[in-house]
Amino acid sequence: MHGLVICAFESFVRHSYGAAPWAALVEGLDAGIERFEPMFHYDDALAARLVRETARVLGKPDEALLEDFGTFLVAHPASERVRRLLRFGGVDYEDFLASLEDLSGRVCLAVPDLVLPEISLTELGGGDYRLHSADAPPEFAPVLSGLLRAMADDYGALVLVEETGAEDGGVHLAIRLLEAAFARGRGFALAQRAG
Amino acid sequence: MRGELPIGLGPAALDRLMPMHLVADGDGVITHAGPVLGKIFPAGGVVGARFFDLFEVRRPRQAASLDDIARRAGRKVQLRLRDPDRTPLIGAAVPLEAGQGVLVNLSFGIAVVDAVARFNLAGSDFAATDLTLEMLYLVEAKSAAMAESRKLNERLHGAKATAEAEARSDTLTGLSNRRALDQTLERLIARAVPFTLMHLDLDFFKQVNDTLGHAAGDLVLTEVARILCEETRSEDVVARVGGDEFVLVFTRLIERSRMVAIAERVILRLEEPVRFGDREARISASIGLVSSLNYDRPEATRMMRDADMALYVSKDRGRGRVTFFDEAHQAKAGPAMDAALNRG
Repeated sequence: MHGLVICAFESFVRHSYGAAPWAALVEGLDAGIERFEPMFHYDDALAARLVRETARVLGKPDEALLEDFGTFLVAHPASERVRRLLRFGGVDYEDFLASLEDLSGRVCLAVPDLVLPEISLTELGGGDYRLHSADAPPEFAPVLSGLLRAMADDYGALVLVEETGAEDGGVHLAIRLLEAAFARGRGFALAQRAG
Repeated sequence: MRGELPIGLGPAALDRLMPMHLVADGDGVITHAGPVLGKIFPAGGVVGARFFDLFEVRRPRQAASLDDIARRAGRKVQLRLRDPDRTPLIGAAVPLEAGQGVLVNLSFGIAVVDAVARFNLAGSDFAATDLTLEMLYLVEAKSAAMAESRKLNERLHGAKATAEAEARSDTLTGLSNRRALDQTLERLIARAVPFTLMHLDLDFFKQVNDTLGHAAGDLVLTEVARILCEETRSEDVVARVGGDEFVLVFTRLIERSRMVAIAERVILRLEEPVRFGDREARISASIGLVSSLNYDRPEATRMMRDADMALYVSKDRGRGRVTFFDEAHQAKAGPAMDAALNRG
């Protein structure tokens, strides 16, 4: 697991629940790690254990915690960077959905060793979309759901996102775009504000 | 030629393909401008203005008219806006059919990052095929990645400085350093483990440095370190505490006769000449010893001072000698002894 992902998760836990629970979690892992470095790589099993432990300590189901994490990535000022990079994907929500197919490629351009699951999007018409990622771990589904809902708010769109299981494994989501311009959205200036 | 029939494109189609283009007539007056030019000149008035009043052509230098530029179809045109920032632009110009004028397509080139902020451009201001958005994305992502790398570097730099400050070994000889020695003494005293402290000072080392040079001196020090390690057990500590000063801690070894035997053997071995090229370096050593059992409540600083004093008595007695601190009282105090006392 790339350190950037773990550090984003750390930022989520710290901002939502405080520094003390995070410090206790890292110590509880007993992995000889004092802090996670964003540019290092960590064992996937360790990352999975971190998520399970966090959910246990905070008394939340894994899924709910991961979905909150996905929301945090877009909605919280601390991860404005992630929101901006996602907003570069499209001028409206439909455009953004289509850009998800390029997401892993875009991320690779910026950080070559950060490998995200490949996403494929099928447009069924009438605002219905099916998202599928064959190589994604199951934890990816709630994170992506949270992120897609938060991005809809960001664009001012109204959507329904639902996980739909499938026999072939991987992650399947059903997305229904009810209204592309439901609210004002947060706006997006191409130029980054100074500082 | 087949496949090369002229195609007619209306202004709306051109605006979509090239949001930052303009058409100027034979007199250089702009007759149509793409939507982005409206953002660059928010006060309006682009259509109807003279091309050269809005833009300054930098290259090709000798271009006096748009026709000049258009005739160089395919060549890049470098321009600047006649605005306070003199915003740089690049363009490509082609002549239109039947004297309808010239079409100029513009772009910000590498200055796009600033221009996007200056003219408050949005994603929809760029053609779908334009890679500007991808470039802006990359600029931002790279800056973020660089910021993380820089933070990591700063942390590593700090960690390195800390590690150096907390180093426990002497870089030349690999022996323990003063800090490690202090920690050992503290630990032994806290646990009431009996030990003997040996303070060893090389004799004639300065002469080796002076006559054979520092390389020979370093070689001698490395040899000394090797011998001291060979003559001690793994639980003992050998520390280099000064240029040619060493302190050895013998854990649970307090038998006086054994300590004297060890000290004398160490001196004998140190007196063996060290070959340096075709020359030989010869040194000896003086030793002061003190046992922790001499004290009701041993203290590291006091023991170090007492071992130092015993050492100076050894020096006084003619070098290559071994002295126990409690014997030092009986020895006649000489000038070196006075020096040691004054130092304490």
